Amino acid sequence: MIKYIIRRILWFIPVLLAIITATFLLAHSIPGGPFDFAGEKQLPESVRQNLMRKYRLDKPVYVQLGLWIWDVLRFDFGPSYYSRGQTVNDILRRTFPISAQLGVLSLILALLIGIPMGTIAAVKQNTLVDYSATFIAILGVSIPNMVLGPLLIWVFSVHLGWFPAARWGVDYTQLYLGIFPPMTHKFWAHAFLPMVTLGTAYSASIARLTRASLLQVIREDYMRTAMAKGLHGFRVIVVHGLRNSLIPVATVLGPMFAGIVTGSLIVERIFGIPGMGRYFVDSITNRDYPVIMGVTLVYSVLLVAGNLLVDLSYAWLDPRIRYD
Amino acid sequence: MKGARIGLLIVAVMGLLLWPALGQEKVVLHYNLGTEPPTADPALAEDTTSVNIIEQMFMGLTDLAEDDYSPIPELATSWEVNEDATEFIFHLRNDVHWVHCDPATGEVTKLDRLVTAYDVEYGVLRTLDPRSGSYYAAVLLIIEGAAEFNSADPEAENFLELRDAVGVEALDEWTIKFTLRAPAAYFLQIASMWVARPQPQWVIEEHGEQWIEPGNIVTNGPYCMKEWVHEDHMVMVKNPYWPDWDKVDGNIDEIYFTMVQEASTAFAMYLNNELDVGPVPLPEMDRVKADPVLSKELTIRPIPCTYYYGFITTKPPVDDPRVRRALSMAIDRVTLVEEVTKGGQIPANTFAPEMIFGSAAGDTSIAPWALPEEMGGWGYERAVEEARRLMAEAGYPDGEGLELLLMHNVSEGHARIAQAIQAMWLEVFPKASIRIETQEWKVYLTTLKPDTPIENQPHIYRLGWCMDYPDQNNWVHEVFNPEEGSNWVRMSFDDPYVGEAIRRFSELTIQAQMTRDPAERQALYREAERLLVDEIAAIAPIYYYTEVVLTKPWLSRRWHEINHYETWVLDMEAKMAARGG
Amino acid sequence: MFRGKKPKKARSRGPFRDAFHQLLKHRAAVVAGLYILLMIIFALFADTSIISLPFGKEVRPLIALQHYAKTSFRNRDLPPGTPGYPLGTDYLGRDIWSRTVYGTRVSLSVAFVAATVSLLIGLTYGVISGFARPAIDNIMMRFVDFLYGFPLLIFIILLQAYFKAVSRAGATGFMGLLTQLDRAMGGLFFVFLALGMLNWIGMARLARGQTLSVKQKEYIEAARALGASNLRIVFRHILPNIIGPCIVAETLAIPGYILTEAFLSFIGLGVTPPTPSWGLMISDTYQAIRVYPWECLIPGAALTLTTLAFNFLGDGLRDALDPRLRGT
Repeated sequence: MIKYIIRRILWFIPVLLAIITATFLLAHSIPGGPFDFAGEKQLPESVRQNLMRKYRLDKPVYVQLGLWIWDVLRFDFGPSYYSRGQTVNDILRRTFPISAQLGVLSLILALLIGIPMGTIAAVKQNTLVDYSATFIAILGVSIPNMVLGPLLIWVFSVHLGWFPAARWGVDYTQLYLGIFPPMTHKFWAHAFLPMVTLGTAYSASIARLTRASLLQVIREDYMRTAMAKGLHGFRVIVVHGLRNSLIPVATVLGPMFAGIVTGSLIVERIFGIPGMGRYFVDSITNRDYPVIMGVTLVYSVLLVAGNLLVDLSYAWLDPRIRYD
Repeated sequence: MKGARIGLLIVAVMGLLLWPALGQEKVVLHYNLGTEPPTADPALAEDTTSVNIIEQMFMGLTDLAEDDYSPIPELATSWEVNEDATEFIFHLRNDVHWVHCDPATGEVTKLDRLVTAYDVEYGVLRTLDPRSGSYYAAVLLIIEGAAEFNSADPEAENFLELRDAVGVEALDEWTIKFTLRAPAAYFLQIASMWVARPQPQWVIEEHGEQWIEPGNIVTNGPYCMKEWVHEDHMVMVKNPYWPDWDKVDGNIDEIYFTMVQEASTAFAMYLNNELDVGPVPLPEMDRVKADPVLSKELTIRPIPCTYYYGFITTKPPVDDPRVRRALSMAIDRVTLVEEVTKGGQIPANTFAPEMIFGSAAGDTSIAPWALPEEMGGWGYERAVEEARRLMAEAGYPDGEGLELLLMHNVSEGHARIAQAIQAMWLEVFPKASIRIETQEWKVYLTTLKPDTPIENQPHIYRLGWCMDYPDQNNWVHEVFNPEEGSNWVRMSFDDPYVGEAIRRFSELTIQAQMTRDPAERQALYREAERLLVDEIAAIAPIYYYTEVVLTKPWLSRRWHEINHYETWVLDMEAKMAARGG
Repeated sequence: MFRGKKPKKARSRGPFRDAFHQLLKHRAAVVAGLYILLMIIFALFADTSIISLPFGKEVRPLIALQHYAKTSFRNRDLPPGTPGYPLGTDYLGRDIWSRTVYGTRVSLSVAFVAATVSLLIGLTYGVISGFARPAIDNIMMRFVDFLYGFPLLIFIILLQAYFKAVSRAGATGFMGLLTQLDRAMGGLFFVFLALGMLNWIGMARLARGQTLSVKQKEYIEAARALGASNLRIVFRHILPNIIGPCIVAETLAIPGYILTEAFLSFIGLGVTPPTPSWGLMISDTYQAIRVYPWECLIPGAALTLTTLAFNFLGDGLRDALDPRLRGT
């Protein structure tokens, strides 16, 4: 097991290098450089040259890549080209905790709703309960965030006045250890609507997957045995079945985790949350190479780590799977 | 007796000192910037959000008057201009202090430094310094030696010489002189811009690019920065040492800026009383106008920007001015602004809008087809008739054989307009084939650059232009002059159809630059506009922008080109009552 | 000799005919299937292009009432039920019914192509990876990690920038073909490409996880002991056992594809306007949800119904394909 983990962690290195290299090369080959235009004006060539020199962009791409990797090894992600005076470290330190808070809360909410809902639907297969659960789940998946978010704001904030319309309850200067928010009333008031918006879609996917997979497990021999022994109902399913049926759920959870924690662009934008999500698009449209690389790296590391956790969780969920 | 009087005096002084703390609540304005300002550095700003922030913190040599954008005194109390408008001497006031704001307490301290002509000189030179990499240094290149310095190699031996040769010089602490390389009557307006503001050399040298962060930054305007949590909010507090508080009637002690991008969210925040000023999302427009409360809080006012479609004038079939004019005529601008953009925009028949010096907006002798009959124009029906005739004359009856590519950058608003105009064109020229293509902004600009091979370019592109300074030189000359401007429409003197007109257009805008007499310049620019929009028809101006804002009843504000919060008055009691209830 | 009835034939129906038979028993799945069929008909016969294009005749709307780009400024934002506009009009006065019908084309083809591609590639890749030796499995999964972590948005912007530049320059050969294809699909080619690249990797991971779990089961060992070949084990024992969750995941992913298309539209990289797709219609009008709710809710309803249909169909399929469910 330990050997397996070490081997997997060693595998991170080539994977990350490949991602970094490919991203770096592609980002640099999009037409239009970071300093070509100011608004609609073209910068004078000499000024552009100076800026290029200042940010080492005059060097060959592979040299830039090498220098960048060298800096990253010393945890220096470089300066932002667009928000001049800020470094990528500043940006990540500021935005990642916020996105992570939103993401983790939404994911917990999604699991808390999704797994019970899926279980009930499976137990009551082909009944009205099942159909309604299915229907609600599908509604949840197919309502886009950009519709649900404004609707929630409209109903719960403008009409009922229960929650503030937008923004996040804390800013990065108020976090414990730079990541944990204070559990204040204000924090939850701001977190609730975006959490629900983001969590709904995920809970729906989780519910559907749980149902499908549980239905399959229920028909397994050991479950039949358990039922034949006279064990019935929920207990059997939860104790014996659910754990095994969570494999497909765990599989999607890995990438879901990375995606949700690095921020949902749409939810963050609609609720005016200063998270990381927008940088996935804005850094590209600004040709802010160091920021592109920074957010890509964070995302990739989370993803690879998430997938490792998922693979490890297989062994826990289904003891018959062994790693050697 | 004497003791009692002193005692009374002490009580009175204490009372005065304590009065603000005891009696009144702080007056706080909640304003949404809509986006994180990319910078607060006057040398680097290029966008309206940053400029809005900078305007509060740094005083300009001149300011633009609220109504006609004419230059009025700000940091400079008076100025002298020589005969041919190449030398400008500004006399500065001597009562403006640099101040620093404590980020923890919000307390403003007066530094033992006054803002002097040397600070302005440093500011101008820092903007021009190639090492700063200022995007907007270009507007200062009219200064003698500025272009040479701005494009110098910082490692070159003569770098410092070039720096000294720039035509900006502080003659003494309160006098600064600019020498220009060519006459430019509009330099007084340029002097109001953020690129020519005083900058605190000692702070910049100490903190480098981080000098604009709260705690580091040292400013001199009516407000100073207390807090800037990037992308979340910024807090500015009143600078009590700003000398002109007795000349304005504003009462705002603190401004809380938010940075919510999504218009519909900001609108919801406005309705929730979380904002004092709010936007109107496009789809809500009809409803807001019909709403008895909101319609009273709504203000629509023109701003100095123009939305236009440009033609690549050397790319067939739009190389034929008849085709270009026919296309321009077939745009139903009135319907477009009423039914699609809905923000009270004004149909445009010229490039520069009304408030720009030298503008001919609304002049019915220029492109009258663009104007409705009540504005003295042709009206759409007559324009369509003429458009059909011209198109047939050019060899494309009903648009037969006409294949056009219309390109715009990715944005929902542009997409709506493009689809509407495409539909209008197809209505008038039913047999034409008109495709729309969208590109991501920087790719789009790369495509439009004049050195892109013409086969990679569209026939028609969309762009907008907003003023840097309110003079036609910033418009027809800088944007379209074939020799000295950007000229993305690719006008050329060899044009087989209108080469002569293009040559005249070029001469006119250059001549106008050199002319001092306002009436004469006005006439030159009018003719240049006529050539550009009507005879050459290199662009189809579509509308002049407006600003659409909602303002809460407890806020009475003024309408400067850039917000002057020091002139706004907010009834805090009414605001608190609304927020509480 | 037997008299009377012939004996029932032993079960000799092929597995797929069998599955089909099972599927028909599932009432919800049948309804869902019919609905999807209807959608396909909508997509094909939105206008007469299929019938008349080969003969060079004029294309006219058929199921749609108008061409999707037919604009009428005076009739913008009309509510459903207005004469001539059964489902109302949008912000440019275009008939929403017609646009929704035309939108079926784009949205369904996005969904179908993406689902098929991702199922085929993902399943193959995942089963091989799960079934193969750990060393190979490891390498294959690292490649998946690579694709996952790779920011596809950059890739899409790049592709759009390059292909469009190339297409304007009048490309020939393979590139010319691609640009023709892209133009014919209203700029959708890149959406397909993006979705294809995005989604098979998820499926691959799922299939691998399932394979890993099934691989350890007694009946596989039994089959192996009986001398079954790898190929036989995969097709007879593994695939039938893992296909259920995979199909369910895929049907579940279909709204995801349509929504991804909406997301791409949201950031401006989706279909080229005025070509309609449900995703574009939603992301175009979500801001109007309070004022003109139908503009956003009608394509939204189409999306939800289609999703629902795919789900019930998926459920039915799973039941039908699961060998242990026979006869229950």
